[in-house]
Amino acid sequence: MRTLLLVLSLLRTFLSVGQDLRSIERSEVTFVSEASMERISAASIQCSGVIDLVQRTFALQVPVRSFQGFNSPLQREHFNENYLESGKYPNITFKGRVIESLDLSKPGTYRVRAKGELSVHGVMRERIIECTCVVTEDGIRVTSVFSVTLSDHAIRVPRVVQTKVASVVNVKVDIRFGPHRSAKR
Amino acid sequence: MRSLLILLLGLLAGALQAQYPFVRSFEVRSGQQRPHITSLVQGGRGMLWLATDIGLLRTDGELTERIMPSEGRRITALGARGQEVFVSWTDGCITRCRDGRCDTLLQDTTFNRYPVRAIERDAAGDLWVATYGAGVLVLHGQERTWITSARGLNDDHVNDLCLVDKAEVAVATDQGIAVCARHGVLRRIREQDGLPDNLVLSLGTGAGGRVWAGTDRGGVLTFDPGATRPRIKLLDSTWQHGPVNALLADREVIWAATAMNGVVACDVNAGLATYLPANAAADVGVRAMDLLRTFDGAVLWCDGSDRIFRADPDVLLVPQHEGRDLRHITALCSDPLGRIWFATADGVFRHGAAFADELRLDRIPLEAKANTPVSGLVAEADGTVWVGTMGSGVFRLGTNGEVVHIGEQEGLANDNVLAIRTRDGDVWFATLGGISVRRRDGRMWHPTIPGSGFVYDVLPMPDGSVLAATDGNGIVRVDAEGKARRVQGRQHVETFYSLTLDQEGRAWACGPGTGLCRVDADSLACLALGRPPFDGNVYGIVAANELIAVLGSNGVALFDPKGGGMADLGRTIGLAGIEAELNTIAVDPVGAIWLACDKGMVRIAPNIQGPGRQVPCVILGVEAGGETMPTEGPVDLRHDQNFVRFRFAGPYFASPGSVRFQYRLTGYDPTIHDTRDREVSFSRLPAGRYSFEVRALLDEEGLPGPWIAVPFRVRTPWYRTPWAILGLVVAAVSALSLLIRSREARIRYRDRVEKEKARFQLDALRSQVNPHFLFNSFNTLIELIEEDQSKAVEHVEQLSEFFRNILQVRDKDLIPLREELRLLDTYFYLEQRRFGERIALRTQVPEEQRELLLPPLTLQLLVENAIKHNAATMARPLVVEVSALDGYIEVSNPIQERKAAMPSTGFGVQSIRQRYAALTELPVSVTNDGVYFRVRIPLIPKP
Repeated sequence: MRTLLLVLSLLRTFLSVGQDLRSIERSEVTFVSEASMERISAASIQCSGVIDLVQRTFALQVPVRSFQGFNSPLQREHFNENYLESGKYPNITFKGRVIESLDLSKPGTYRVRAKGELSVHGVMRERIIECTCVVTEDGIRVTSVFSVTLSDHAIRVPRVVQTKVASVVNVKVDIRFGPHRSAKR
Repeated sequence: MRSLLILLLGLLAGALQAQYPFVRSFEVRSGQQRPHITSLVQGGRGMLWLATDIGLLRTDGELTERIMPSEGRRITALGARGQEVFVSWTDGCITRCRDGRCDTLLQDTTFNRYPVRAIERDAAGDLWVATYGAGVLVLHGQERTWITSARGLNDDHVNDLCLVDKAEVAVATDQGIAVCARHGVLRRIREQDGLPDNLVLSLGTGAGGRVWAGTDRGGVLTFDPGATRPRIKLLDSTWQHGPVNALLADREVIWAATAMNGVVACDVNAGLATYLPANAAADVGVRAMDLLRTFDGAVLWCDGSDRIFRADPDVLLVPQHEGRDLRHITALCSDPLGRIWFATADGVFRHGAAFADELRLDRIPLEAKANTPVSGLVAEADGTVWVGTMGSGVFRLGTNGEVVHIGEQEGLANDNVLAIRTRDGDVWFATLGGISVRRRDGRMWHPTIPGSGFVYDVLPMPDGSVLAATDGNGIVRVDAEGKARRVQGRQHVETFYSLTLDQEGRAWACGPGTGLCRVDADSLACLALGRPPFDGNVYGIVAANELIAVLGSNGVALFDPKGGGMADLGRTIGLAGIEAELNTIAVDPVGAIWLACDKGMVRIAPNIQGPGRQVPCVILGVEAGGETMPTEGPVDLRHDQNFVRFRFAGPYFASPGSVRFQYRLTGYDPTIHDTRDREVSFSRLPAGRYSFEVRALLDEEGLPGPWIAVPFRVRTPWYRTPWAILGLVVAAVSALSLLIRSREARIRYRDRVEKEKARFQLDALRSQVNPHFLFNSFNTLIELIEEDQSKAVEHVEQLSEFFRNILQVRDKDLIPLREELRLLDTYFYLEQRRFGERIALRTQVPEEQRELLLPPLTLQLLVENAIKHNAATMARPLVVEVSALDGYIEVSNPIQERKAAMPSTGFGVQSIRQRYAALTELPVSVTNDGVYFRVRIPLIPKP
C-alpha cells in the first residue's frame, strides 16, 4: 500500500482535470538473460502501479528484491548486491504516458506505445515500449516484451562472467489493471 | 503475384545493404574516465563538444578537456550556433559556453520538471527551447513566449526542433509535427495528414529547405514546410531500422541515427540504397544516439559509449556486393561509360554506374582454363575490354558481346599475361615472356627485350616508344623500331611493378623499395623514398586528377608530382596494413579512384582532399601567472605574469593521432619547434612585445596550416620605466647632496666651536696673564716677602696652583661645577690677598648641582669681570654671589661704579654666550637692573 501511495505521488505531477485511475490487481514481470554459457530467468509478482485512462499517464514500480527464480540462491544474492545494488536502488520504476490517443476504457484490443522514463539501478533512460492492451469490463491486461541494455543503466558485468550474463536482457511484462472505480482524492 | 513481387523487393533490399562509407572511430578519454557520450555538437572553431555522464567535454579528437563537471546533474540537450554552444542541464539551467568559458543563460524551474530536449538559436537571434512536457519557449530578447498545446501546439511533449527558415521552426512532438513562428503555430502535420507515425523523434533541414523527420516506427519522411497542405514523402516504406534518434539531411544522403541499426545513410537519388556501418550485421543491438556533420563534410556519431564514429562520405568501402565477395579481386578497370570491371576467382564481373544500386552486377562468361586467374583488365575507348589471364592468354570482349581468345598460337609472347595497356588502337601485353603488341589491324608483334623476359607492366608512350617494367632489368624502353634500351636509375634497383602516365605526358614507375620514379629520356628520378606507403610493398600506381594515387601495403597515398606533396590517405581513412594484387588501382571517367584490396573494393571520391589539405589550429587558452587571459585581442601582461602557458588544439577528426604542431615565439626565439603536445609554456620572459604563433600539420605531410598568432606584451616593471629611473636618479642625487651639505654643516660647526674654544682659551690665558693681575700679585708678594716669609711662600704656592689648574682645564670642553668652584676659590684667594676685606665671595651651591658641567673658567671670568668693573672699598665691599639652582648657576654682584674703569678685553659675557650657543640651546641671560648685575648660565647635565 505504501508503494502504491508513492506511485500515486509520482503520478500527481500528471494529474490535473479529469481522471480515471486504475491500479494493478495482478502482475508478473519476468526477465531472461540468454548468455552463451547460461540462461538466467527470474520473475516478480509484486509490481505495483496505476494508470490514468483520461490523461493516459501511468507509473509502475517493481521492488528489485521481489525477483524470484534464478539458478541458485547465490545468483540471486549477486543480482541484488552486485549488479542492481538493491540496497541503494530498491525499486525499478517506469513512468510516462501512452502516445496513442485512444480511449482505453472502451473494450477492445489495442497496440499502444508507452513512452517514459525507465529507471533501473538508479539510472534513468527514456524508452518507448510497445505493449498490447486488452480492455474488458473486468479491467485492462497489458502485455509487453522489450529489452534492457545493461550498460545503459551503468550495470557493470565483470569480464569473467560475461559468458554467463548477457549484455542485453529481455523483459516480459504481464500486468492486469483493475476495473473502473471512482478516484479518491 | 503481388506477394512474389514484395518478396523479391525484400530480398533485393537485403542484398543491397552491403556498401557503406568508410567508418572509423576514436576513443574519448577524460583523465582515467571513460565517458558515456550521449550527444555531440561542433562549436565555432571546429572543436567537438560532448554531452557525457561526467559532464560537458570538449575535444579535438586527441585532447579532451572537461569544461563543466556534471556534479550530480545530467545534460539533456546540446545546441550550437556560431561560436556559442548551449547546454541544458537537469537542474533547470541552460548554460552558454564560448571559448571554454561558460555562464548561465537561463534558469527556470519549468526545465526542472520538464527536461529540455533541444535548443536552437535562429538567424534573428531568438532562442528556441523545446521541453518535454511544457511546450516550446521562445526567447526574443527578454521577452518569453511559451508555445504550448493551449496555444495550438500538437502536444506539450516536444522531442526535437529544427530551423526551417529565418523565422520558422519545425517542432517534433509526440503527436506529430508543427511548424511554428515566434508568435505561434502555423501548421500542424499529424497522422491524418499522412504522417506515418505521430511520434516524431528527430528533425533535420535538407536541400531546398525541405524538412526531414525521423519517427519512432514509420522511418524517415520529408515534406515542404512552406506548403499549406504539405505532401509527405517517405524515404523508405519498409523501414526496418527502428526509431530514428537523430537525423542529418545532406544534399544527397540522409543520415539517420537509429536505435536498432546504428547510423543508416540513405542515398536520396539511388532510392532504397542504404549504407550500413560495418558492425550492423554482426550485432543486433547496435544503435546510434546523436550525429552531426562536421565542417569538413564527414559525419560523426556517438552510441552512448566512449567512442566517436566518423564516416567519410568521400570513401566508400564495398566488401561484398550482391553476394559476391569483393575482398579477393585480382584485376580491376573502369570503362569509358563509368562501369567498373573486376575479376575474382569466380570470373569477370561488370557493374554499371559506380555501384548505384538500380543496376545489377553482370558476370561475363569466359572459357578460360581452370586455375588461370584474371590478372589484367583494360577497357579501350570504344568499350572493348581486354582480359588477361595467368595461363590462358587474353580474351577480347567486343561491345557486341563477341569474345575472342588470343593465346600463344595467335602470336602472343606468353599465355601468362600480367598487364594490358592500349594506346591509339594498339594493345600491349606484359607477359612472363616479354611484351607483345596487337596492332590496330590485328597483326601481332613481339619485340625482344633483355633479361628473363618477366614483365610486370607495360606503358605505351605518346612518342611511339613503349616502357616495360621488368623483373631484374629495371625499366626498359623499346622504341618504334624495336630497339630495347635500359633506362638507368641512380639506385641499383632492378624490379618495377607498375607504370603510369600523368597528365603532362610523363611516365612514372614504382617497384619494391624504389619510391616513386619519374622516367625521363634515359634516366630515372626517384622521389619519396622510404616515406609511407613507399616504405612497404607497393602494388600499383595510377595518375588521377593531376595527382598520382599509390596503393601499397602501408596505405593509400596521393602524390602531387608538381609540388612534391603527398597525402597519406591510408592513415586518415584507416586503410593501412592491406594486401592486394598488382595493379588493382584504377580511375573512372569522373576521376574517382577505385582500388581493390583484402578489405574489399574502395572508391575514393574525386573531391577528397589530397596533398595540401590543412589542419585547422585553434588557441584554446592563454594563462599567465595563474590567470586565464582572453584569447581574442592583444594580451597585456604585468611584469610578474611572465610565466605564460598556451593551450591549443588541432580539430581533425579523420586522424586525430597524426596531428602535430609547430610553434615559435617571435620576439624571443624565432626558431620553429615541433611538438605533439597541445600545450607550451614560457617562463621568465623579459619585458617586451611577443607573438606566439602555432600551426598544425599532419605527419609525413609537409604542408602546414596557416599560423595562428597570439600577440602579447609583457610590461616593463614600473621601476624599470624611464620615468622611474629618472626619479630614482633625482632622489639619489638629492639624498647625496643633502648628506654632503649636512656633513659640511657639521664640519663647519665643529670648526666654529673649535675656534671659539681656542679664542676663549687664549682669552682666558690672556686674562690670567693680565699684567694687572700679575703686577698686583707680585706687589702683594713683595709685601708678603717683607712681612711674612711663610705667607709669601703660601702665596706663591697658591699662584702656581692657580696656573697649574688653568693649564689642566684649558683643553677640556666641559668640567664639573665642583672643579670650577675649586678653581674659582684659588683665584679668589689670590685676589683677596690684594683686596683683603673689600671683596667677598658667597657661594651657595647645593651638593647635587656640583656634578653638572660647564665650560672651564666661566665663573672665574665672570668673577674677574665683576672685580674689574666695580669699585671695592672698605666702606662698601664688593660681594660677588655665586648660587646654583635648578640647573642654572648665577653670578651676581651689586653695581658699584668705579671711577677709573679697567680697560675691557672686549670679550667677557659675549664670549661665554658664543661658547654656550655651541653647547646648549638654553639661553645665557644677562640682566642689569641698575642695582645688580646678574649673569645666569645653564649647567649642562652629565652625558
